[in-house]
Amino acid sequence: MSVASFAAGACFAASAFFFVAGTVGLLRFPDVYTRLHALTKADNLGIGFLVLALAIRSSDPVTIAKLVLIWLAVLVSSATASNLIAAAAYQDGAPWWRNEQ
Amino acid sequence: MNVAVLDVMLCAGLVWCAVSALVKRDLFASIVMFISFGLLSALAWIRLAAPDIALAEAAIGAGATGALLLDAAGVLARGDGSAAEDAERRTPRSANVLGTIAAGALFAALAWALLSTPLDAPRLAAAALTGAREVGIANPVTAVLLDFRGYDTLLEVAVLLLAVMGVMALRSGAPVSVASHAADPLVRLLVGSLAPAVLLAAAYLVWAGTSSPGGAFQSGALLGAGVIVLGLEGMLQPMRVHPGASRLLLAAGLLAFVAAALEPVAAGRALLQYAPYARKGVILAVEGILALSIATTVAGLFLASSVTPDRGKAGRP
Repeated sequence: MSVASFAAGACFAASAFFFVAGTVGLLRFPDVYTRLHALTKADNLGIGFLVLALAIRSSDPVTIAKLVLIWLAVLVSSATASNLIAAAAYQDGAPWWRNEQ
Repeated sequence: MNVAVLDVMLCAGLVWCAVSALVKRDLFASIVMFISFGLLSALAWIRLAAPDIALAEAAIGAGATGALLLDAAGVLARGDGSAAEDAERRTPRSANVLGTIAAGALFAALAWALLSTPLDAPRLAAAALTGAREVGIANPVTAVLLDFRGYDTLLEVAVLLLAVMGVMALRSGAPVSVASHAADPLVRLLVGSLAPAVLLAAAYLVWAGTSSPGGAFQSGALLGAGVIVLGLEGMLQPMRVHPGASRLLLAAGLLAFVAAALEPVAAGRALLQYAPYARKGVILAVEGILALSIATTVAGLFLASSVTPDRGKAGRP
């Protein structure tokens, strides 16, 4: 197994880990804000590692450039959308979770 | 094998989204499921090797229709808090029963059509590909839409124009303001910097449509979605600021198409039988103008029907 395919496999695994962690966070975290935090952080890293893995496997610079563009577009839109959702939730007075201990 | 697993998950996801969109009591949740359904069907079209339809489905089915539905739900919710429930209560049982029967009959007819078609029935793909080569347009979808089935597309464009005219007629005279919240600087920055990219992508889709997936409908839907976002931020109000020019743009696509269809008749050929040497140029020109018209139509459907909270209340007895 070549170094490149090992690196790509490791990036795929890391991507899957962050997607699963983000989904678990979305389902299990106690309020809107922490859920958004889990979702955006994990999705951005998940997409990032996925793009990295695909870029390692691809040999075409144009394809790699397209992949990076996709990653940047997801990054920007996900950050903006979650900021909007959080602001709307705050304006609506969505309760936030406090650690009671 | 791996791809088959993905396909099964995709089909299951589609059915699950469709059922949830129908049975959810919460209107907002229903709409979110409907938008997810649109995105998954775009993926399904990709898997069926139909990227042209996938592009249109993602932009119109999930994007523009989703925005319209969310806007309508917002107006219902803002009314007096229970407008959505009122609307549901006012729906007579007979209407639900009739709707179910109609949907069931449509499903049965489609299933019968699918099952009664022999697997080795003559397919049109070969004819379309041969025709596309003759036309000199490498993308068979564009060749079918604008050349040898151009009549269908011409009528579709006329239907689109009629639809947006209907929406504009229903809108009462007062101009509509859409920006309902204080403009968020982050969103303004994002929308402002994305607008040129959307314009570039839309122009590229028209140009690419002659040789690869793309074309007037995809390009127009993308451009229209961009105008809707700009309109929501109050940065661009085409219908209000330039009503005359907007109406001209709405009709320009149909006018250009009709002109392109009639020109051969004047030259002694059949309707829509473009001059062989000018085919590609004519198709590209019609596609470009059509894209602008479709963009104005998509944006107009949303921006003309969008109602502010104040007007929503004022219209209530």
